Amino acid sequence: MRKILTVCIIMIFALCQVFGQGGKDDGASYPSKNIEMIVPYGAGGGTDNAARIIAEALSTELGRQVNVVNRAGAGGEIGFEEIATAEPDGYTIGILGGPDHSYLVNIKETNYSLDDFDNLAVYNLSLPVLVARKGSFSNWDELVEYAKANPGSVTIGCSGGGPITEAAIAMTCGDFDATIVKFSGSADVSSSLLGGHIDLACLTPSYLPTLEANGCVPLIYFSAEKVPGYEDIPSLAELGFDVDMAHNPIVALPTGCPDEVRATLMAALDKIGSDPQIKEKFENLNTVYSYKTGEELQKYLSDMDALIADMVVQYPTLFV
Amino acid sequence: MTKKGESERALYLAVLSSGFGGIVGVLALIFFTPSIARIAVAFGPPEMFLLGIAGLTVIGALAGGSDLPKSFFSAAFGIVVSAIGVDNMTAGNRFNFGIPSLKMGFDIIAVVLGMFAISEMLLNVTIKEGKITNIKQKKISRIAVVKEIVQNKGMAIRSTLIGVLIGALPGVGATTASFVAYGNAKTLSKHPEEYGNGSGEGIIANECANNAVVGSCLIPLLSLGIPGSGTAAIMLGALTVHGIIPGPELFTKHATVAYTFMYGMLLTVVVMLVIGLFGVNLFKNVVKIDLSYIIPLTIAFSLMGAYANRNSVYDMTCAVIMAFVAVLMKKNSFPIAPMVLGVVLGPIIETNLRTSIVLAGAAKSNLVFFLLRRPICIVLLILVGLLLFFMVRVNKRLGLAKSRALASED
Repeated sequence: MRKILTVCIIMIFALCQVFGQGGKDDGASYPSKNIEMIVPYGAGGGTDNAARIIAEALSTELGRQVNVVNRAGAGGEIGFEEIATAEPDGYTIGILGGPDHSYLVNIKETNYSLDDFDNLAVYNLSLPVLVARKGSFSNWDELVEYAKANPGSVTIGCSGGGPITEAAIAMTCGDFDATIVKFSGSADVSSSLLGGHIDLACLTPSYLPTLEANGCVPLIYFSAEKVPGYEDIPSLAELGFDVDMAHNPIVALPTGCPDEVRATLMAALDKIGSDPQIKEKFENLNTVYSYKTGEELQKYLSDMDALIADMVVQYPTLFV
Repeated sequence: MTKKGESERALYLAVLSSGFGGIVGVLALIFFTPSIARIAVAFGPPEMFLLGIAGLTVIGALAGGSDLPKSFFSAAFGIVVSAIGVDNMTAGNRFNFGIPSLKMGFDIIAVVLGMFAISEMLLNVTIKEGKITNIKQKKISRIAVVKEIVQNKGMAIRSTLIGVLIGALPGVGATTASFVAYGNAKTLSKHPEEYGNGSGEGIIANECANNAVVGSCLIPLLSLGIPGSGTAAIMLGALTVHGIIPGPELFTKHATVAYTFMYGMLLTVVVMLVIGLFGVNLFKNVVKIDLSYIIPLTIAFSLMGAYANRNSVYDMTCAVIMAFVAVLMKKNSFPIAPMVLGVVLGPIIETNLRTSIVLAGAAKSNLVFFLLRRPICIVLLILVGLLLFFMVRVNKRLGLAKSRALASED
């Protein structure tokens, strides 16, 4: 009996340690305990890689451990909901996988809205490219000419909200009709393009080395910026279209955090944003380093949301 | 096998076949990566769809003499369960009845842990003796086990090849490979009636295949930068964080990394084999442990496993629900394995069928003609036909064996 009692007491103490850290605190002493960083996808993807770089740097800046927690499920929706409904005390930070969170709001009824997120910063952009399979098209004009003459016969593989929107943008800008083929992951899209089962795919540049080595041709960027080393690929913006799409991990808080907490976090994020070592880490991921905060970030994100909403209106059947 | 006093034989068979399968899988990774990768990408959505169908025919073999309609029911039930949650292709909600967490669907790991591990423990609660078995366990020499594997070398090699090839296809995985190898071994076996009742062949087929996958599932990752499994995705992440993008460059620019990786894997397989071989003397004692310790521990670890996969308490709930479903099914003699197979293959069949229909539409054709124009599809269609034929034959034989056994009991 005494043994059980001892064990119980130790357990209770241990639990107090886990849950009682710091207790309630005002914004001034933030952070007084470890911080959870929610990533709405599984480990190993682009958003997760970025989150781990940010979490490590934030831990050093704030002097508290920032733990990455992967909450995969339902294409990110589960994680977005969790970030939106978390206690706004600064101890839950989210990494939104933009533009998936705004895409979902546009196409279905979600349990969160974009107003539930207080977007703090973006560090890197993964810039999508339209890639053609081996032996199909060698440039954008060739594609447009063929696709206009043969409506619906060109297939574009996509997975997730960003690429589907990009495929719609390609059709609008080129004024042609293609068949959009939806896949459940970008790895499947890439392997189908390599096998020649689809004609085109919207993919991020991390796939380009393999694709190019196997004869696939990158046709055009959907973004204004370009990935270093791949500057000779033209962009839709250069052709005169007002288009700027990118996949970007956004550091966000649930709306309503105390101002002091927000300021402390923002200062830490800014400091990380000026660190050249961090820049190099993001560039290693084959993404473009582009630190954005405040007004600039809000405008960038709301422009992208408007573009997605516009595409959803133009191609209602594509998004169901 | 434990119930026949052969736990040591079972363990050695498992360890040795795992080692064999694992080593061949890594060797395939080291020597045949480019050619296997080329085969893997030749499998487009239409081929993957037919492969999924071919995989489903395994349920005939999994039926294990119990009647085929019940197996079909289980598999169909599994496919329905796999459809729950958000549709990966369109992000639409399916069968979630307004319950937010059901959007996450039933994850295969939670389903397997619930249906195989936890349900078995729930059923064990009813055992009165307090031990799995009281039968004295026989000793067996390692040489004898090696001889047994060598006797079945054809089947072992076939199972390993199945593991290597299925493992190299992105997104298919070890569970499918084990099922297909087991089903294949059983349908072509001379003694299918022994499967599930202490046959060594079943263990060899299963272990060879699922360990061959470990090496070969990295083939698409290393050669094409396509992560074929969750583990491969994490490795891809780890490599990219260090500025290494897997793909053809890996072998030219970062050859040291690539080969260290591969030989490292070979080493882990060998070490696993050695630990396994010497550990059997320890592991075999598990059957002597009182069930009152085994049951709570297994349930606790299974729940931890279910949670750890996606850091989600919801998955633990799923595992518990599936455990009770499995108990109900077992009590009414519905086989469990076809249901798990349904959950595994459901998404593969469904997404690839839908993609194939879209592709056929773009080619101004219908699905049937679209499939018949692709050579690999024709081969797979013939394969499905043969598998169905063998499935019916094996089940007839199993049925005969069963009725004969019943007759001799009378």
